[in-house]
Amino acid sequence: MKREYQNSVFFKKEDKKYYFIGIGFIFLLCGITTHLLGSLEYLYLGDQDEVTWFYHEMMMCCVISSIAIVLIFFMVRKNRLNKRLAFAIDKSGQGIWLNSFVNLKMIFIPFSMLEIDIVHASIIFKYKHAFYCNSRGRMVVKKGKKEKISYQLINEDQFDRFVKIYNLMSDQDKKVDFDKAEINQRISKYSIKHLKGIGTLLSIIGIVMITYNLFPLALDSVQLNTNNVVKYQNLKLNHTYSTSKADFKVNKAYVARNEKNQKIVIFNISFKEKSQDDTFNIFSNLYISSDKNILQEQGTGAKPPVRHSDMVMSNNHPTAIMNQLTNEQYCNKDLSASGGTGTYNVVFKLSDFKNKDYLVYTGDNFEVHPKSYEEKPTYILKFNPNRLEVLQ
Amino acid sequence: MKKITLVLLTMMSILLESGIVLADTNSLYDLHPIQTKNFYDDSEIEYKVTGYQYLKDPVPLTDNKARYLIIHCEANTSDLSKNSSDSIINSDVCKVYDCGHEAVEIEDVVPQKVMKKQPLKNVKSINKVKPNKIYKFDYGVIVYPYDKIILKINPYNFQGLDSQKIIIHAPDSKNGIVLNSMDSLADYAQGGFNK
Repeated sequence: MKREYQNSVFFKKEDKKYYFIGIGFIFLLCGITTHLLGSLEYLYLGDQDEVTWFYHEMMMCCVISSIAIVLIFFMVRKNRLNKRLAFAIDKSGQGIWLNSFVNLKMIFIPFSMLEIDIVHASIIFKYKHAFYCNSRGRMVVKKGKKEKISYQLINEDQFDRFVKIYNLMSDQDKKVDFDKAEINQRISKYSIKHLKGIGTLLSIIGIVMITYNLFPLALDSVQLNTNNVVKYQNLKLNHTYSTSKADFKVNKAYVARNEKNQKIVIFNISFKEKSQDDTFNIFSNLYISSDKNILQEQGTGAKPPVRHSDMVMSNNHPTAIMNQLTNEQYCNKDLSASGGTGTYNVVFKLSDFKNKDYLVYTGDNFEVHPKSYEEKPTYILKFNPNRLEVLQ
Repeated sequence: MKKITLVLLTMMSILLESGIVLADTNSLYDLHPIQTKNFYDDSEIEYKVTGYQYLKDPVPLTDNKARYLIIHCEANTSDLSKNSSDSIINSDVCKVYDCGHEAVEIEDVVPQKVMKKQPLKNVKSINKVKPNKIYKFDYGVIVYPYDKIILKINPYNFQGLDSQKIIIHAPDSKNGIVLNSMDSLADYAQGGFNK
């Protein structure tokens, strides 16, 4: 059986407005998923850095896979229907050829076994049997089925011509009752208006959700930085960091292990108090965090310095750390020997597997927005514990 | 021959190390006398600081690395007029700074029961003094001996003596974090406080 067509009906070049709504839904779905993962991460925060890391990775996977889905969606839609043959009358006038969408194979349906009906805006091909050639060139019988093709997807003029020819060739009782104007009226009645606008809106909501959950800092830090409220910098040794109430300088930074074999970091820091504030408190101003977004997360996971409980391993001996910052009132002008200046060793416990941590100097508690702090700015100083000098 | 030399060297190093341990840890608790000029407060009570000493027992409960440091002081009321019987012994005779910061006073943290027993019995404020008497009293603080410890005598510049600083311990350290082995308290910092 030769595949020769006449009065072919092709699919139309697709309307781009359908892409918008599809992509919009994908972005929205992705945004909701990212938000749910973000909420899960928030629940498990704290000392469980591994869990945090895991959820970050999952969120990244989610975003990457959704981008992939969008691309695949585009490719599939583009290749699936665009200008392909939908159906045609056989040149011999014995039946029609119909695109079965199974490997884009055309199936032959004799007129005697076919019934065409138009319901709302869909063309329904109902057939008892169909025939097609398999890969070996043999004729195979296909079981009867209903195929539905939307009128909106096919070329209207070609279909108009097809119906006229079909009605001429088929029996009286099988003629198709087709009124172009009526169908167009039905379509405009049920079609969703402003598809492009809705799709764009959904996309924007989805993208904002993804961005907010993945990069909260990108939104907030810009806002914070403009007012000189928070400074994100790399930790520099022997550099004076200045706030409205104090100057401080990290003279030395060492990584070491305590007698329980936990990793610790020791900062030798000089302070100079500038204010006459009785409540000035260095101890509670310092933290380390493995998360840059410590302020946005109200200090979740921020670790204060350890007090005089740890011995550091030096030359394989557990040794006390001298001049350790242990007291909230250190460096207070009224209580210090040198009028508000001092050099102390500040000790923090580290997580073992991290290669990025932040030394945080903040003038107030994390529950308040940094803009409302009396002491400004807040410093978030990045350092790599693995690159610090190892204490001998 | 090699083996004998090695054994001898090992034995010598053990002996040397143990020798340093004994000498240093014990000397921490010695009494250190101080001789300074006397000074007078507004009530004409004469004061002098006579010495300081770390207590081996008791030790602070909060941290076994910390110690009680007692400053021995004397107050002489021979110049006090007979009518001023409501005078009190001034507690601002000295101050101790640990790591540049005013050290916590024993009275603020130690329970009254312990304060009533020796050697903390003399750490107290004396009220209603009588003329022509010598009162011995102590000023007590909690410090980490391996930190930089400074004793400031007459911190408020009472008459007769300019305020005077005595460095009780100046840490000897290369890295500013742990003491060098040559520091007198190197062994104490390396766990000698447990002995």
